[in-house]
Amino acid sequence: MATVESASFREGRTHPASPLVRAGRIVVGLVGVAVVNMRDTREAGKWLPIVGLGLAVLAAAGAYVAWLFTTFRIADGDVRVSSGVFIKRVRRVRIDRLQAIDVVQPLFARMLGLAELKLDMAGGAEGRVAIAYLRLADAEALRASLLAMAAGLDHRTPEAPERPMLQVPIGAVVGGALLSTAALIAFVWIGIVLLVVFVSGSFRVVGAALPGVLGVVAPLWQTIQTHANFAVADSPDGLRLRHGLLETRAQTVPPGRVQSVRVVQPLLWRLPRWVRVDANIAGYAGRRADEGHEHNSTLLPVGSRAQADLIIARVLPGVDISDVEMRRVPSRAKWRSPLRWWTFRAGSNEQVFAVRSGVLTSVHALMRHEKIQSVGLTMGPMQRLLRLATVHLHSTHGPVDVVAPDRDLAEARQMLDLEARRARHGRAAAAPERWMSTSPQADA
Amino acid sequence: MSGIEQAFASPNQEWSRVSAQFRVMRRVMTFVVAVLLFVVLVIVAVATGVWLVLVVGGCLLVAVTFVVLGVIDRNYRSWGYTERAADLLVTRGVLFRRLVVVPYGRMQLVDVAAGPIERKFGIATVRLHTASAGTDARIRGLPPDEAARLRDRLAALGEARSAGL
Repeated sequence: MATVESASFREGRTHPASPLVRAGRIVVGLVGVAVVNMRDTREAGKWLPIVGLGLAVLAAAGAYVAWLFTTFRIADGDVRVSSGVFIKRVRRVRIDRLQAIDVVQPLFARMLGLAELKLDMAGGAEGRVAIAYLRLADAEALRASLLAMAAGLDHRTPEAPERPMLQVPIGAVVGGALLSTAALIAFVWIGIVLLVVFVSGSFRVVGAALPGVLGVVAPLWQTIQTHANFAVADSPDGLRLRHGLLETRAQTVPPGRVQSVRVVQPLLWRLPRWVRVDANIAGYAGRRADEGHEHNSTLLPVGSRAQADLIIARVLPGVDISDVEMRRVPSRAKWRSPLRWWTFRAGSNEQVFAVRSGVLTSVHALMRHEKIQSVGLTMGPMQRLLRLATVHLHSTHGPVDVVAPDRDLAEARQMLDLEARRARHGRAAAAPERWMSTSPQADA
Repeated sequence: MSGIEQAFASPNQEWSRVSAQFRVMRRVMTFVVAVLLFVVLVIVAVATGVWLVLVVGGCLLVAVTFVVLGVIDRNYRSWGYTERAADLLVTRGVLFRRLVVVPYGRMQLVDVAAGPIERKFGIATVRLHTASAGTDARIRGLPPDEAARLRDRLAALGEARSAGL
């Protein structure tokens, strides 16, 4: 087992400017709230700047005290972050269970050259630790040595070299966002507002409609902001993803941590033949949706089919999906799923199980047999009448659902038994946890 | 309906069934609720003086109780589990039938739970957890010693066959 000797990281404190960044984020939040509730804000009048200033000072003071009591420590094969003024809280991540490490730079932190290190362990929300904030170079060095230790190498191993795979041009990201359903809703909203302004000849309606417009534009902006400058690079310690306009994020997804993959094509993306690639990644499991980290699971926000194939070939190595025979469901399934039954397809080969469906948005999901957690067969009352059943392959938490609906009963049971058997064989042949320890030159 | 039975059949032998106490517990609960509802009916009838309420309500109550008892019976008979060499199969449900295959190597946690009423009737629930939230594998109505045996066996097998994610 690798011992940690690098004195600078054995025990540490986050950067002294950290409280400033935290307080800054709180102040920005307050300003945002004030702007959105502009009408009430105006009534508050002259007291507002004083109250705002007071809150800002309070936030800064609180953040500073919290910083004083926050330390992190790397020893005995785990990372510990202790914090808390009155109630001590120690969060601990075992290095050999590390699933992924993100370096995140929110806008404020980025202006000060700081970054946050997010560690994810298998087992979801409980196994998440953030070290905020460090100098960017320190954060990157720490990430490199943690990844090396997680892979079973010495922590002084230099960061593995990377090979750029692809970059997504900003035009495609913006175009992709504008061709989405969310964008359609936003345009309709803005159109209605403009129409009302035009008909009534008064701009008063704009003020009333502003929060609503912000509400529909915000998700678009969020998509563009997180996916801008998206770059994918390949390295022996995993796929490296870098993205973000204001808040930048660098993710390393170790090989074999991708549980299942899907290729999605929304309706309007058929014109430019664009697709998106999402994945269920172990360690990003159990994350609450309200944390807004859904984008973590995107491997390619928008790109061509060939680029998608390139990514999939990297995260599902050795998988050849060309010989998967995708079978349709019996036509009696139309009584249960009248609109979608003709799009349902499922099939498998020695390596993967694949499903495909979707009338407007087409979804093609893949899962390696050895990644299956469990297999399920369900039959509702309507399916009972039609003698159909649905096959579920259970994966860790994430956007990808591998479900084959409305299969013929006998076929469904065959699928279930076959998957259970193939999953068993796959697990028996699966690679060890420490992915670098057996073959140091994995694919250098 | 034989096609359906075949699709949800146990792979090697018959399903191991859950304790009859499970059905007894649900019957008793139904009976208790029915009696409470009947008391309410009587109170309403006495208070309003409209005895028709009692007659109509009572008939309805009896009918519903019999339907519920029938549902309980069918549901009880739908529960089953089978231990195979590498995985555990669990089935349940009448209207919504389900069958789950959980490999031992994927089990992260096996817990045994018994509420106060379950304890009174001498049964317990065994629940299996994997890294997937979709795995809804639980076996209700097991006798406590069988539940403990299953838990220990599954834990041992899970340990022996544990596979990385």
